[in-house]
Amino acid sequence: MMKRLSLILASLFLYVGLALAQTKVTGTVISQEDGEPIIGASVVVQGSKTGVVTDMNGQFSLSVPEGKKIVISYIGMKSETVTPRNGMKVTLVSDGQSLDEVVVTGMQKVDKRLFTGSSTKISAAEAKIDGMADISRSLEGRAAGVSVQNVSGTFGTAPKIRVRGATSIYGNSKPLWVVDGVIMEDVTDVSADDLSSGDANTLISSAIAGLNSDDIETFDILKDGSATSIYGARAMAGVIVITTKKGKQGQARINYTGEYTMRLKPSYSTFNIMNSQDQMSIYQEMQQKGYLNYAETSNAASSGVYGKMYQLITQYDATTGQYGLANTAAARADYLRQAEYRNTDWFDELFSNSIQHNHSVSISSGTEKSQTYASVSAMFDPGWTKQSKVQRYTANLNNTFNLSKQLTFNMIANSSYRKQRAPGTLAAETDVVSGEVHRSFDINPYSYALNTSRALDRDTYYTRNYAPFNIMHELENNYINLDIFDIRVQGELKYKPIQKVELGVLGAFKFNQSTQNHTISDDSNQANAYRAMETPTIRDANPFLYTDPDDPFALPVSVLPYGGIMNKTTNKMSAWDFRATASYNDVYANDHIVNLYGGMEVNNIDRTYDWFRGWGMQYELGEIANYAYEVFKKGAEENADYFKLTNSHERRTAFFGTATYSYKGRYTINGTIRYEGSNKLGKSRSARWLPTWNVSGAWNAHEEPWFEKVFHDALTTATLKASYSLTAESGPSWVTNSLPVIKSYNPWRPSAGLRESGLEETDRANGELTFEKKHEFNIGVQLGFLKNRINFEFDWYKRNNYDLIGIVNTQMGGQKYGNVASMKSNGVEISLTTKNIQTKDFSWTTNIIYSHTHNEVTELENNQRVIDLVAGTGFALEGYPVRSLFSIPFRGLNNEGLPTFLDQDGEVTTTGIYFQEQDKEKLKFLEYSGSVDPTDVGSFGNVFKYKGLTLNVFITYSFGNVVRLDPVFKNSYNDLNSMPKEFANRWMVPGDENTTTIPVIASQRQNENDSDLSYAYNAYNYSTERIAKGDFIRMKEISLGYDFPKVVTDPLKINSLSLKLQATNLFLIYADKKLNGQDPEFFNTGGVAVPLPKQFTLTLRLGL
Amino acid sequence: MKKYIGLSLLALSMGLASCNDFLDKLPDNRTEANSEVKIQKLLVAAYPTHDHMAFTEYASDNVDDMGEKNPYTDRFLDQLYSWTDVTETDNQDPESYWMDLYQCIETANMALEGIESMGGATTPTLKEMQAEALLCRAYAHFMLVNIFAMHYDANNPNAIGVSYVTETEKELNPQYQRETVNENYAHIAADLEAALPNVGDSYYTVPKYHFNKNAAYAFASRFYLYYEKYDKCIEYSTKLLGSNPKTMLRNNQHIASLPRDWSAASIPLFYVDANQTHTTLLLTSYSNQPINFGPYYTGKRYSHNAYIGTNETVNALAALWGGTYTSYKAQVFRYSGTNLNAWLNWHMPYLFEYTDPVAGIGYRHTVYNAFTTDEVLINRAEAYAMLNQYDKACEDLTIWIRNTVVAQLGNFTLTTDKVTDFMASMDYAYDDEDHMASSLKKHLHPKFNIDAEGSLQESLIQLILAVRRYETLLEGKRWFDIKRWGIEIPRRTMTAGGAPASVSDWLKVDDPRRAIQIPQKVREAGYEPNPRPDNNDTNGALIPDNNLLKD
Repeated sequence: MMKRLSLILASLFLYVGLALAQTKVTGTVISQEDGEPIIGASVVVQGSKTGVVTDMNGQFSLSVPEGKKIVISYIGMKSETVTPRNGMKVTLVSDGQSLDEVVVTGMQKVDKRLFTGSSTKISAAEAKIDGMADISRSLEGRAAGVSVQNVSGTFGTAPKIRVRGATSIYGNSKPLWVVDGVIMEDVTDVSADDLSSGDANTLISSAIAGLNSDDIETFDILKDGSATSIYGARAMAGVIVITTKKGKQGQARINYTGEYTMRLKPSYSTFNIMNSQDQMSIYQEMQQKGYLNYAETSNAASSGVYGKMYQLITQYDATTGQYGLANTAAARADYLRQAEYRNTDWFDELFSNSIQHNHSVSISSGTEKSQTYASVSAMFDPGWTKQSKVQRYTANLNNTFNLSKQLTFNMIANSSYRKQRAPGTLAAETDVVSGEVHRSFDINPYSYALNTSRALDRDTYYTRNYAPFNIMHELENNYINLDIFDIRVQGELKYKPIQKVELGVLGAFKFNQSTQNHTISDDSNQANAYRAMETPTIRDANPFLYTDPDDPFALPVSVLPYGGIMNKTTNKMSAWDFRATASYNDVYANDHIVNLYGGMEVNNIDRTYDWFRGWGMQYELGEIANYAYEVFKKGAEENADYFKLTNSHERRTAFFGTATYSYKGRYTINGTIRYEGSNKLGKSRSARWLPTWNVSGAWNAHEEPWFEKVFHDALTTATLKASYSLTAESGPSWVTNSLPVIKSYNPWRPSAGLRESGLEETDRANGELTFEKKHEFNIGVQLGFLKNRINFEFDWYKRNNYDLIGIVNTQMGGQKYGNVASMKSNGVEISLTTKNIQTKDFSWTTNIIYSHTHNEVTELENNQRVIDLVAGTGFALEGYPVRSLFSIPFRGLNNEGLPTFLDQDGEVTTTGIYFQEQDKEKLKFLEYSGSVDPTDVGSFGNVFKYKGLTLNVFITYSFGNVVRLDPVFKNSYNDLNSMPKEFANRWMVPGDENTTTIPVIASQRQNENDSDLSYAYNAYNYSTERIAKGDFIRMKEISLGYDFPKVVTDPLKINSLSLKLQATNLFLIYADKKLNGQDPEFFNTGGVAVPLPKQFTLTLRLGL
Repeated sequence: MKKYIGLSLLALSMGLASCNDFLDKLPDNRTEANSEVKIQKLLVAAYPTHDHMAFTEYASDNVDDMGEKNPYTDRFLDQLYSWTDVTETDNQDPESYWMDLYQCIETANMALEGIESMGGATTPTLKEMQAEALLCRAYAHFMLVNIFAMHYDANNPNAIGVSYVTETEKELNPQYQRETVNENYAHIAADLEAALPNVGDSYYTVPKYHFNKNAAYAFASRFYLYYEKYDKCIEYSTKLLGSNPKTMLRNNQHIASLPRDWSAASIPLFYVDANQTHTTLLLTSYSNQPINFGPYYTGKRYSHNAYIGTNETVNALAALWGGTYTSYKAQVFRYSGTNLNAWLNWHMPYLFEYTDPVAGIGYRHTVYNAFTTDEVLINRAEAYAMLNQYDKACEDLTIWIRNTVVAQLGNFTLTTDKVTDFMASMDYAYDDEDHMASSLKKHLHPKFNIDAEGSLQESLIQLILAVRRYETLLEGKRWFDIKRWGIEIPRRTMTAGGAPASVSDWLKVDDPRRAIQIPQKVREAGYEPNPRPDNNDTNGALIPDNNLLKD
C-alpha cells in the first residue's frame, strides 16, 4: 500500500525529462530493513529534474549525463546520492521517522508535507503495553491532547478516552474509531459517564477489544477539525485511526509473540483498612451504642460475626444435644476473641497471581501479484480475581492482489471470539431520596475485599439479605458468562484508469453478537434471599417476598420457591458500509501540486437488544424451570418487565470532497466539505442533513530556498499550520425527537385486571432539532532542530461548541431537549522528542508530552438535582466545566458528633439536605469542587538502547481533576462492614468536634431521635470533606528488552529473537494523601469494575 | 470532463433522493399514530396522571390551619394553604398538573391528526376514537380553564382564559397565546358536542379508565352546569341517570358492611371500584392525597377538623334529617390526638408502586373519580333549582339523601318547606363579630342572578352546595363551587382546642387568587401570567365584603 502510494506521490513531484545523449543506467533499489525491493522510489539526476520511479521490482532505468550523480529517495528513507553504474544495487536506510511522513485519515493517506491538520501518529510497536490485551489502554500518555482514564481495568471495558476534552454536555464525547478505513460502531451505547458504572454492559463497551494488538501497525489520532473534517458530522470528538499490518513482497516470514503476565494481588498495606482487632473494638463500641444486640442482629438483613454468634447460640444439634455455642459470657467472649485474631486477608483469598498468557502467530508473505498477512492469536486469562476468566481468539487475514497495473484489490477478514466470566451483578441504582448509591447482591471481589470486615472467616456463612452468605460460595454460584463474537469482512477495489486518477470502492460488513448469561444458581445467596423466611420477623421484613394485595389476610410468600434465576441479555449488531471515492493528483508546471478527493458513503447499522429473566431455573436438577405463578402476578402489579426487545437502526449517508493545493510543498491550502445525512434525528428532512467544512493552510518554511542559509543545521524543519473548521455530531443517542417519539408503555393501574398497554408520546416534536456543532481554530508549529534530533510540536486550539443539546423549559411540554446549550474550550499541546545521545551502540531518547485543556459551559438551562451534581461524575452547570463535581459544604461536627452542613436555605443542618432539590437558585449552596476530567495530562518517557538492549521508563501524569472518596460513612453499620483507619479519629466524646471531622458512629438512640439520619451520613459522603485531588504521577511502565544478535539467531536458523520484561502500573509517584490507596483513575463502583493491576509481563518474540 | 461532471451531478441528485428514502427508516422501535390499533393505544395516554386535589382542597374552606405548633406540614402545603403562588415542586403541584393536562391535549391532538391522516373518521371504531380524543381534549381544557382562570362569566367576555390547543407541537419552544374564558368554554362545548353522538363503550378493554358513555354524560352534566346551560345539564344528566337514578348511585349500604380498617383498604377501593355503577371515569395519579387526608399525621396542620365537620359539613348537613355523623351509612372517620384533629372520608386508596422494592423506593399513587353518578344527580338538582323547578330538585335530593343515610331514616322526603325552614334556622357563616364562625350557609355572590337570600331558590342552592361539598370532601372539588358561587372564605387558624382563633386572610369575591397562578416554569418560558396585585393589599383586608346581597 505504502509503496503503491509513493508511486503516486512520486509522480506528483517528478517530471520525467527528455533524455539527452547519455549513458543508460539500470539498477535496483532495496530496503535495508527487510531486503525487499522498494517500489516507487524516485531516482533523479542530481541537480536536475530528470528522473524516474522504480517499478514493481524496484528496478529503474535512467539515462544519466556523463559525470553526474544520481539521487535516490523514498519517503521514510534517507536519500542516497551515488555514482551511476549499470546493474547497480542501492540500499536505502530507514530514516527512523518513516511513520511521520504519511498521515492516514482512514480514507486517504496524505503526505505529511501536504497535511494541514493536527494529528499524532503512534507506532503500535512502540506504544503497545505488553500484557494489556485491549490496545486502547496503551494510548495513555502517548499523544498530546489525548486523555485516557482507566476507570475500570476489566477486560472489555473501554477506558474513558477524550481527544481534546469534552465536546458535548449530554452526549458522549467519545472519539470515532476507524479501523482500516471502516468506522467501528459500538454494539451498545455506553455513555462516557457510564463507563465507570461497573454495570455488566460495560464489559462490551470497547469497540476494539476484539483486535489482536499484535496485528496493529499504527494509530493516527486526528485532533483538530481540519484532520477530522472528512468525517465531518461524526467527528466532533476526534478520530482514532487504526491501520493493521499488511503483507509484504518477498520471502514468507512467520512471527510468534508470546506474552506471559503475572499480576500482583492488592495488599492491605496500601489501603487504610482496619485490621480485625481494631474492627472488633469498633463493633464493641457499636454494641455499647445499642447495636448488634441479640434480638435485632439475629434477624437482621445482613450480619457478620455477631449475627453468626447469635445464630450459633440458638442452633441446637439434636444428635449431640449441644448448642452451636454455649450461651455463656465466656463462650461468647471466646468466640469474639477468635474473630479478633482472624485478620482475614480478603485480597489473598479473592485474587490470584495466575499467569495470563497471550500467543500470537502471524505470517507475512507476498509476491508481485499478491501480498498476504495472516495471524491467529489466543489469549488465556485465568483471572486476576475469582470469576474473571477470559479467553479470546482472533484471526485476521489481509490480502492485497495486484490484478493489473490499473487494478488492485484488498480484502480483510477479521474475527474474534471472546469467552469471559465475571461476577454476577445487577445494575447500580441511586436512591434519589437519601442519595445512597447501592447495588443489590454486589459480589465484586475488589470492593468486597475493601468493604468487608477482616474479622470474618472465609469459610463461614454469614447473613446477607436474610439468607446465608459466603463470598467464596456466592462467587461460585452467581456469575455472568459472556460470549462475544465479532467479524468484519471488507473488500476494497482500486482502479487507476489513468496515472492521475484513482477510483476506489470499499464495502465492509460487520457483525457482532454478545450474549451475557447471568447464572444465579439454586443455592446462591441471591436466590435464597427470595425465600428467606426462617422467622416471622424475617418473613415480614424481607422485601424480596411477595404479599398478594388482593388478599387482605395474605402472608408473604416466595416468588422463587425453587431453583435460581436465569438472566440473559443479548446485544447484536450487524452493519454494512459502502464507499465510493475518486481521487485526482496532478502537478502542473512542476510547482503546482493539486490533490482532489471526493466520494460518497453509506452506512447501515442494525442493533438488537433483548433481555430475558427466567425465574425458577433449577440448575442443579437438570436445568429445568419450576416457577411460581406469583412471580408473574407480582411483576404485573409492579409494572416490571418480564422480557424486553429493542431494535434500533442507524442509517447514514454522506458526500464528501477535499481539495489541496500546494505551491512547491511550501504553501499548502486545503478545503474539505462533507454533507451528511442521518436517520437519527427522525423523519424530518430538514434536520437530517448537515454540511460540515474546513479550511486550512500550512507553511513549510524549511522548503523555502533561504531557510537553510539562515538556520543551517540549527533548525532543520519548521512548519506552521492553521485551520478553521466546522464539525458536528448527531448528539446524544436518545435525543431523536425531530418528530414526536411515541413509545409503548404500561400505565400504572391499581390491579392486574385493569391493566392495558398504551402508546405514549415520550418526547414532543422539535422540528428545529439539529446536529451538535463545533467551530475550531487550530494553530500548530512543528520545529526540528539539529538535523531533527530535537523535535518540537506545539498546537493551540480554541473551540466553540454550539447547538449542543440542552434543556428547554417549555410552556406545555415540560422539559424538552433542544440545541440550546453551548460551551467553549481551549488548550495547548506540546510534545518534545530529543535524541540526547546517539552513538553507534548507545542511544538515549526522551519524549515529553504535555497537554492542557480547559472547557466551560457558557449556556445551559439546568434542571439537575443536588444528587446529580454531587455524585458520580457530577454534571455541568453554566459557567463551570462540563463534568463538574460539587460538594455539600461541611460545617463541622455538632456536639453529638453528627456532621452539619450548609443547606439549600442557607441554614446549618444535619439532616436537612434535600437531595432532589432542583431549584437553580437554591443549588447555589453547593460548593464547586472541580472537574472530574483531568485538565493537564501527559507523559515523560525515556528509552535507552545499548546494542540489543532497550530500557524503557515511561511515566504518565494527570492533573486538574477531583475524585470523590469512597462513600464509607453510614448512619448505622453492621458487623459485616470494614472501616477505614480514619475511623480511629472519629468523634467519641463531646468536645471532640473541635479536633476531628470524622463523625460519630451514631447510636441507636440517635437514629431513633432522627429517622432521617441516613441523609446526614450520605451528605457527609458527598461533602467537601470527602473530596480529593485526582492528580497523580504514575510509573506506568518500566521495561527491559533484549534483541538477540545474529550470532545467536543464525545458528538456530531463526530470523530474530527477542525477550522483554515489562513492569506495568508499578506505583504512583505522587497522589493526594487523602486518597489513602484509592486509585485516582479508578471508580470503585462494584459490579464488574476492578482497577488496573500491577503486573509483570515477559514477552518472547520469535521470527522465522 | 464536462460529461463526467454532468454525470456525477446527476448521480449526486439521484443519490440524494434515494438517500432520503434510505434515511426514512425510524431509528428505534418508536411508532407513529397511523392505524386504528395504534390510535386506540395512544388514547390510553390522554388521561391525566397527576391531580389538582392537593392545591384545590388546601385552598378551599374544607381545611383550617391547626396552628403554628402543629409540625405536620411542609413548605409546599404552606404555600397551597396560604394561596401563595407555588414555588415548591411536588408531584401534586400546579405545574405537574398543567404539564400533564397539556400532554393529554397533545396526545389527543396526535390521535386526531392520526385519524385525519387515515382519511378521517370513516369507520364506526374510528368515530368512537375521535369522540374519545375530543372528550379528552375538552376535559383537559376544562380543568385548565377552571383552575388557572377566573370562573366563567357570560357577561365578561374579556376574562383571560388558557390556550386552547388543537394541534400537536412541532417546534422546540412555541409561544402560546391565551384565549378568553368564554372562548375556552365555546371550544369545549364544540368538542363535547362533536364527541357526544359518537362516544361508545364497545371498543374499550378497560372502559372505566376511558371516556365511556356515562363518563361523557357526567362530564357534559358538569360542564353545562358551569356554562349555565341548565337544560343541557338536565338532558345529559338524565341520559346517565335513567329512569331510576337510585340504582345508579353508590351502594353506601355495602360500605357500611366493609371493615373499617385502612390497611385492608376495602373502603377506599370500593369508592374507585370499576365494577360499580357509581364510577364513571377513574383516573390514576401520583398523589399524596390519601396520606394527607388519610389516617396519617402527614399534612395534618391543615385539616378538615371536627369544628368544620360539626358546623359546616358532616353534622351540619345531617341536621337536615335530624341526625349527626352517625346517621350516614358511610360513616366519617374521626381522629383526634396531639396535633391531630381530622374528620375524614376514605374516598381514595393509598397504593404504592415499587420501582426498587429493596430500597423501598417507588411512587405513591391513588385512584380517584373524575365524576360520580352521585355528583351528576346533584348537578341535575342544581340545574332544576336554577330553572325554578324546585320540586324536581327536591326529588333528586331526596334520592340522594335516602341513599346516603342509615336505613332507619330511609323514608325521609325532602320538601321545599323543609329546605327553607332548615336554611332559615341557621346564620350565615362569618357573620359574627370576629368573622370566623362556621355555618353550612355562606353568602353567595355569583356572577349570574339568583333570588335573594332566604328565598326558596337560594336556600335550595345552599343545600345543594352543602350536599356536593359533603359528597366530594377531600377531592378538591369544593374549590370550583367557591369560585362559581363567589363564596368568600377565610384563612382561619384554630386554637389548640380546635376552636376558631383568628383569621389571617380573606379570599374576596373578585380576588385574583381565585385563578391559580400559572406555574412558575411556564411563566419563565414566556407564558402570560395571571394578574396579581403589586402590593399586599388583599392580605391586609380582614373584613369580608358581605354587602353585595345583604340588602
